[in-house]
Amino acid sequence: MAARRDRVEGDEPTASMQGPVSAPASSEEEAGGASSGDLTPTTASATPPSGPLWTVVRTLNAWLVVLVVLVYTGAFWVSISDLPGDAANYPRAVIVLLLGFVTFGVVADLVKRARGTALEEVVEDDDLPPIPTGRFGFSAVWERWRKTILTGLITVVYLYVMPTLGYYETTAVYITVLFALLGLRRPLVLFPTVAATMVISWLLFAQILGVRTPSGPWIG
Amino acid sequence: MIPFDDILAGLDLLFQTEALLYLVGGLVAGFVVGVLPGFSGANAAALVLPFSIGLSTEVSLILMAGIYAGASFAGAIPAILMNVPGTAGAAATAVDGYPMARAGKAELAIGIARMASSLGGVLSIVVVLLIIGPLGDLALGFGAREMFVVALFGLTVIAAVVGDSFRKGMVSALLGLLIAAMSASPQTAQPRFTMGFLGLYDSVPFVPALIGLFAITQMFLLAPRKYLLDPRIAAEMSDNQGGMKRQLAELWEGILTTLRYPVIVLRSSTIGLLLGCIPGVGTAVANFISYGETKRRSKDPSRFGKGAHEGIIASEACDNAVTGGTMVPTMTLGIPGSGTAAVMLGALYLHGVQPGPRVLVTHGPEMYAVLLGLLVASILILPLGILLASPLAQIIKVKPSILTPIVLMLCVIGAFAIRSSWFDAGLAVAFGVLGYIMRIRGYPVVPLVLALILGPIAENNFMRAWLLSNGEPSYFFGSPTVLFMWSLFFITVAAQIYKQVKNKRSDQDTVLTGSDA
Repeated sequence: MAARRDRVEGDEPTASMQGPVSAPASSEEEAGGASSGDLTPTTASATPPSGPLWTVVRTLNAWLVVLVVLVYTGAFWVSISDLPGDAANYPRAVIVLLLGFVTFGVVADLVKRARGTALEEVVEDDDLPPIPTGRFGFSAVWERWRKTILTGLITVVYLYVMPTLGYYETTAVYITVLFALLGLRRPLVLFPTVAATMVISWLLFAQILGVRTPSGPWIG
Repeated sequence: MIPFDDILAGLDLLFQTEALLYLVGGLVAGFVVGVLPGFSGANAAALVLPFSIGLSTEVSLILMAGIYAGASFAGAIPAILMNVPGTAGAAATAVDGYPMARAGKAELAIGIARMASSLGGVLSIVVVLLIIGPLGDLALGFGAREMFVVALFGLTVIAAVVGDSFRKGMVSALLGLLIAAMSASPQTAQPRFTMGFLGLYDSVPFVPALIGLFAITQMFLLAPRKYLLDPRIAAEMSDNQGGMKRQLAELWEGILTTLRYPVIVLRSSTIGLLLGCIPGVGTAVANFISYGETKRRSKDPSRFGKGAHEGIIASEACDNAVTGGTMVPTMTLGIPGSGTAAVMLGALYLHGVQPGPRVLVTHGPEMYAVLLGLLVASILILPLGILLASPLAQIIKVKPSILTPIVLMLCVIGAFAIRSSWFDAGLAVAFGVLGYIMRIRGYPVVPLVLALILGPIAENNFMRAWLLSNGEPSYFFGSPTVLFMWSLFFITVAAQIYKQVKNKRSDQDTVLTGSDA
């Protein structure tokens, strides 16, 4: 089995140059190669980085859900450890089953990897951001996930400041920043769109639906 | 007993201006999300859910019913025009629809899909209207052990049919069960992993979870994309819309063509209705079963896949029949038949109605108004589908850069507005992140959503049955009904294991042949 793994790792550069057909490892760069929701097919011109660090990164990436489940179930298990059986047995049973399915997946994944086939956690291409063409390394990873990560972070900040600054104030800033981040940058388009959104949301919430929006120091 | 009084009262509720307006509005919204690949009725329904709090129970449910029926049909349009199913259910429609479009008969294909959807929806709802009362009476007789097995069965089926991996489906479902258990214990009232949040004490608030998992997750997925649809395909779609006269001619031809296959319409609708009644089976599976059955019984199966009219009818009639079928477990047991049906249950919670076997007794007229709403929506698919064909072709050109910020804002405000709770808004975003992580790793979120509902049902009923059993496990197998359900459960599990083993074998075969080549 070890010999096969060696062979596979030796094949890695060739595989990535030929495209995704026999890509053995988990990184998106290899797994998506030619068809990734991107409109134009791309071919990799550089060699994807390898080495222990990248193996760890790829493994963590492939097992993202597994990690989330482990952390969550671990914390859950500890927090209910003091409770009597009547209260805690049901969640404990669910945790044991959940860990069973997760372990099964990890083992199946390891077996597949040892055989040199693709990782278990392969995903529909449509759902993933397009892969930057011909570039590898952390800058390419950032380039790929930048918009999603920033959208998430900005939304968290939006939620965090709204109780203090109020709905209309924070929302105007929030949608301006997000519009710009996601590609609506021409001021003549951007600002009228923001203004229209604000007016429509005021009409919708305050006038039609009667939704109570958080008030801020200036408006509301 | 068919409760004609309730049906008539439901008719009264439906034929109010407000209810009809929201039905049409929902249908239009359903058309829009159905056409957009990646969106589903569940996404749109989750988004409008918090804002429907000001409406009456039946009007908000009728709105959801409109979205549901509209999305079920409209998924066929991109499937036919460009082989991209707008909803999972339309995948089987593409098999014959797309070849027809390639042969220059896109209008006829859409016309057939429209008529078949309409007929399938009407037939299935008429049957559901007649049987749901008696079935509800039957469900009223369910005790704790029966409800426990039903919940267990529902979860297994959902995990099995959603997505392509039973394991991933089960991980998603079990995660949902565990999240639903983050509450006070139903026995001892001690909080379990609530982290001090009072908002979790009852159980996880369902509506913010829905908004997060369906709407926010979708926006995170959309954020990095430049277009909703390949612009070339979008242009092709708008080119495909002829003038009004052509539309009418096409409508007429679509109707006539569909009516030429009454047996197929009837059989496909029956398959859709029956499979829709099983919680979680969903249209994706049912449509392919209906398609396969029609192909198998055809005198000339070789025409299938090359633009056979029967193929479109088989898929689309079944598609909208499933919609009616999913209402059966949703209304009689409080177990959602699909993602959109789960959102409808969310609307019930929001209006303080506890879904379950009693809901048809306590809220009979409202429930029948919703079923009748689905019936009217199915009929309205014909005229509205034609009127909206051209505007729909424009809507798909909306860019994610505009759509994403606005929808995210609506999600946050919506989750907050339900009960002016920042905890709820934060929870929606947290569920959005969780859903995103699951989706990019190929884990379906629908099992998790349904498990959030089924979890408390399963736990409470298990505990009650356990108390009734006096520690005697045989109690759980002690009635014919419960035995029947256990057998369904074990058949499902066995079928899944068999399927997995078979897939593993064929996987290995491809690997071997692949490496040989």
